[in-house]
Amino acid sequence: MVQQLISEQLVILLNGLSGAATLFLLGTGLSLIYGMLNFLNLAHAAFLPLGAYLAASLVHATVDAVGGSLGFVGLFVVFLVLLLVVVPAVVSAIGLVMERTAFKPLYGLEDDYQLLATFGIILMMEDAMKFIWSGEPVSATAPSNLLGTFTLPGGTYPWWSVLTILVTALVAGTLYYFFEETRLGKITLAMAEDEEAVSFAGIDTRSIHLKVFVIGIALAALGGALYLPTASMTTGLALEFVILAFAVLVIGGLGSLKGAIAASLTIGMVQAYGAYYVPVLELALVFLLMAVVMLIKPTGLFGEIEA
Amino acid sequence: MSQDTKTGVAVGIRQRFGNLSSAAGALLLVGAFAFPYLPGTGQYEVFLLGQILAFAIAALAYNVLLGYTGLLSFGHAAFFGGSAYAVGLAMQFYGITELLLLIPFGVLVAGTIAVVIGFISVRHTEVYYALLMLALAHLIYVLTVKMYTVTGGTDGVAITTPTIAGINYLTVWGYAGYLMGILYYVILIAFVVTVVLLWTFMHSPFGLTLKTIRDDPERARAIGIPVRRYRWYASIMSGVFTGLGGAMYAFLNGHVTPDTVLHWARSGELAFMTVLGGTGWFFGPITGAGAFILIRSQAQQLTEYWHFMMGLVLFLVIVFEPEGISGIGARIRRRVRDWRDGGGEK
Repeated sequence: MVQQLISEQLVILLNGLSGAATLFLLGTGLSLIYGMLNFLNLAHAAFLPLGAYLAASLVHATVDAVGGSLGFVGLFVVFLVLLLVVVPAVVSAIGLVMERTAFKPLYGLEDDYQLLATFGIILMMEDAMKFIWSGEPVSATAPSNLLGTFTLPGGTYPWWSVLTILVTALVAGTLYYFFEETRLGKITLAMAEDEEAVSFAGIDTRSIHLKVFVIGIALAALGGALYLPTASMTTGLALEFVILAFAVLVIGGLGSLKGAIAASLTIGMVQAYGAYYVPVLELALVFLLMAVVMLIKPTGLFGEIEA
Repeated sequence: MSQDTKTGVAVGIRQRFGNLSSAAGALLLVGAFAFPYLPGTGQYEVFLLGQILAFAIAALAYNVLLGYTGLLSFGHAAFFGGSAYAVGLAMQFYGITELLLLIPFGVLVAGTIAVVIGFISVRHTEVYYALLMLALAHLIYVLTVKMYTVTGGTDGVAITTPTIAGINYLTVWGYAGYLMGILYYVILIAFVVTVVLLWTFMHSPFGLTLKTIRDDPERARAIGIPVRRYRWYASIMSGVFTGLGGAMYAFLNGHVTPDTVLHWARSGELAFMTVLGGTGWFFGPITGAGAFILIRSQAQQLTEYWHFMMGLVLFLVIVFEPEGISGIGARIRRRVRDWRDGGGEK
């Protein structure tokens, strides 16, 4: 009985953490790009489904080509390289091209117009994905199946979700180290405060812009790649992820890494507990939370930068 | 005014211009009323124009906030869909079939939603306003999807053909007769009423107050305008008329689902129509709604990827012509006038 209860709570906790992992990878980029570059990119969240679709294609191709010939370890390593390296790298490259062509003309515009123009971009990206991968939902459970599940009293849980949580924690730690400890990280933070001053110091702010932008997109793609093995993905989800990304941004505070971590953990837990105890309100609770935070503390939990 | 001063000439030109455009407006209006009887007009065309008018109502209302008050909302689907759902649910649960009761009911519900979420949202401006509206409106979307016992979930609600002033035109005239003979005119009249009322409001001291707030909220506050309260009033007015558009959409389509009327992408589309037409002009959103529906209906016939085309148009408009179609129109008019005025000397 007690064991049952503990295992129940453990499952909710794990669900919350893996949900938080996806949200963190999705929202951090949006938050950093807005905080550092002062660019409000509604289309940011579309890079998550893009990463997921690409991951699906790569996983299926791999399984078809070499699935039988590789051992467990070999296949696992191949999947890790594909999902953790190749997908983020390819999507970053796409993001880089889009930065040069589609996003650059929007930097100087007012926030309102940035929101609208990037709404246009997300519509285009959604259809481009539909065109390439057809409108069908995709899934690629091979990596998750490979790792299998572990048994808890009263249920099983996929190891892949545990891996997702660990990888995300590692990413969050690395980012934290980058911003707090490295020179480039400190310059980036300084740019958010006063870009002109940094630029006067002889630092190429444009190249740092690009780096932040590309890192943000790579994170979203990684989120998609990690999300896919345990869930299925449709192009329509791009529009759903957008508001979740904004929920992270708003609840955490614009441009704050600590805020993004705290917000994704909060939303992840609210969703997990909501889904368990009041399934009807699961998603509604997230937007309620978002509205309440905005009313009480418009700059978010950790936001210091005024918009 | 003496005739030989510059001002006199300018007023004269403006009057002649004003007469010209009001004549064009009158002609368009007569054309709109005669539209179902024009040669070559079928059910499809009437349906299309009806849809343009329904969205034009909502886009005109949207512009009260974006163009006149300077607030971008990503939550107008709550008003549009709130009203459409109110109509559908009143029919389903209370058996009300009278259009003349259903319209005020839908508008009232949209207005109530606007009173509540407007009150909350106007506590912030700019991005925060847009996102707060987005969050609150999406709350309504999510609840509608989840409460399927009441709302039918993602399947939505069917809207049966209403009676109008007690008469069931569907049995009398059949669908084509109902659509072209009466429903179209209901929508057209709602459109005309919206234009007249919003024009009056926007050219009244109320509208000027909103413009003052848009141009410089600090100065507006300094001269004693309660800025937040006026933004709230503007949100309510915008919500009420968006609701009227939503009700018209519901009657015309006969079916509403959360994704067609309550999703945030719908709010984005209303913003799109307004920007496409031109936020700086009162009539801009009408052009925008017309262009949107026409581009969409053409694009849908050509390709299933019409979202791509809409997104591209929106992107190009904002990058190259932020003042929209009206901006292009004004530039052409200016060119023509310059060319005519200076034509002899060049």
